[in-house]
Amino acid sequence: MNMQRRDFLLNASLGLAGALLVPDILSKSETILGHNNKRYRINTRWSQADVSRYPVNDCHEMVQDQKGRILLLTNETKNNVLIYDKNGKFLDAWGTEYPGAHGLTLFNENGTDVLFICDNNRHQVIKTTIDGRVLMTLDYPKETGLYAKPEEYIPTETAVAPNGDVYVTDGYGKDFVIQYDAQGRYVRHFGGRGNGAEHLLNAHGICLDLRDKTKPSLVVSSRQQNAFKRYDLEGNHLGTLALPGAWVCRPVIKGDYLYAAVLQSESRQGQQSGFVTVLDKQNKVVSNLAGSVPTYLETGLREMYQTVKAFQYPHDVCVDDEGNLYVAQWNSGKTYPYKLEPVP
Amino acid sequence: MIKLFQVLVILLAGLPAMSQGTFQLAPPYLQFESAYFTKECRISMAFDHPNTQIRYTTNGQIPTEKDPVYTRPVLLKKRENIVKARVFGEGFAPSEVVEASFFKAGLPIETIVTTTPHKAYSGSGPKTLIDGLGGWDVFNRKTWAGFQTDTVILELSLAKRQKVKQVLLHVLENQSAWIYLPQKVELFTATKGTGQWEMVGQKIVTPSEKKDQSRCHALSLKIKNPRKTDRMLVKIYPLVRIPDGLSGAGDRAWLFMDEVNLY
Repeated sequence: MNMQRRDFLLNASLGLAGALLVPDILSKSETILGHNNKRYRINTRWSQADVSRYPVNDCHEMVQDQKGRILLLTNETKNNVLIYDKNGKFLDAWGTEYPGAHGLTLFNENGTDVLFICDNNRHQVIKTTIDGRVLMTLDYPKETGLYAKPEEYIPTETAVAPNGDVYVTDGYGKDFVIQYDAQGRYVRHFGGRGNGAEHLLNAHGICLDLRDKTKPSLVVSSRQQNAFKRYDLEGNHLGTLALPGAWVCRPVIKGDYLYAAVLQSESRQGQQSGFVTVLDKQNKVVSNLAGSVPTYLETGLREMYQTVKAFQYPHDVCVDDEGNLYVAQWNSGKTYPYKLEPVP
Repeated sequence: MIKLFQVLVILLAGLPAMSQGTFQLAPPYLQFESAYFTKECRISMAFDHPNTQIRYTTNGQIPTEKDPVYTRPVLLKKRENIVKARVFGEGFAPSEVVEASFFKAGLPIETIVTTTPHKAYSGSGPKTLIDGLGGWDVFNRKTWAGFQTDTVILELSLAKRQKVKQVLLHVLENQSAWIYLPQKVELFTATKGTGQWEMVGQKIVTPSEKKDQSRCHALSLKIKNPRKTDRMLVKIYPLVRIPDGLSGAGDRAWLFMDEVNLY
């Protein structure tokens, strides 16, 4: 009797030890998020970076470079950029000079990857090599005549056209989009606040849409209006895509689809109510990861909202060459990015 | 060998313990025109996620899997009503409870004069607190008047002289936005003849615990042995210094109000 009890205790403690010894790779999440042909298995333990050596603060944006590596931008100045392989293995880190690191855009410049970093605190956009050497710095756009001092300009995102022109959104400043040529010379500005369809409120993100080869365009977030707005490359407003309920961060286009992290649900603000949305080429929402089933009524898209508390404040989605998603989060307990693998 | 095999079995048995856990469902979404109504109030609930059910109660109890599944709008008629709802679904932890209270209109208030709200949160104008609209826990909606002063005074005149037994003040608590419950409320009525203010009620509000959710509260002040009156004054003392350990600690708190009812 006594012996049996001891065995039981021994087995129980071994069980516990077993639980602690199981490698992360075997601990697959059972939770599948999303709808239709865009469903994913979530992995919250993707990052294998050592938190004591490579900490993060807000994880703002992620991109994949031509070597297949995943780059994360954080406003932790011990290491503003963390570099991973697709399995979450930590490879490298650089950057200590970007206290307001927010926007990260990768551009293939004649075969070479370059990065554009928007820094909220420095009120600047910085172009660097893939390993962090500074190539160009864009200060506040005084050429527009709209800004009296750097503090009025809080750039959040960049998009780079095939000809090298750089479009910057002043998403936490005055909500203008400022266009520069490849050498950093001011070309024009558009957007800004107002009541017109062409105006923006919290122009948080921007991307080039080259899906229609004959008509390249820009997609800009108007996050507080729960919408994307489309412009031609000269800044003429072409249309508005209403996304009721969704505080959409930057648009990310990969293949035929547009992906966006939704920071929070309009009806539950300040309550960690984010999700991720996916739109098809016809601008229809086909899937909400951790969000409500996208439903189109005669009156349009029904208001969307969070349904599963998988994310807190998702801030960006990166889509890799195999269709996996990586989700970076703002103000979410310094959590590292999650990976989501497509399920058939 | 047997021992090794046993260890392996035990190791594998440990697997579920290491899985990435179960995610929790978000609370359901309550939809209604206003929390304040004259005859009856219709509450809809939304939660569009496959294989989940909303369950709700109207008796103040926390909904369990034994409570009714929401299928159609709920009709409320009582003077004070509380709806609590929660989502259940296989493969997920049940959601937190979402709740909202609904109030039937009280005695008609003819005019109201208040301390000027902050210009960023001036509500829908001078009648914000008597327009019968509100009850949403989203602070930037135009139904809320927001104040950041030492005291907030409401001076109310009634359509006719009558006994007022109870005052309900509808306030918001959203700690992450530095919106807290007030620390104290005093109630006065005008004495007949002299017009002097006489204190007829007081409420000391217990300081808040840390909370993540944004929530509407109804602060109730009861008047013992009410006399007839046609003028009332409510003096509200917002929290002047947010206590340590809470969001905005050390700073002045906001007071948000969307309606006042007299019964």
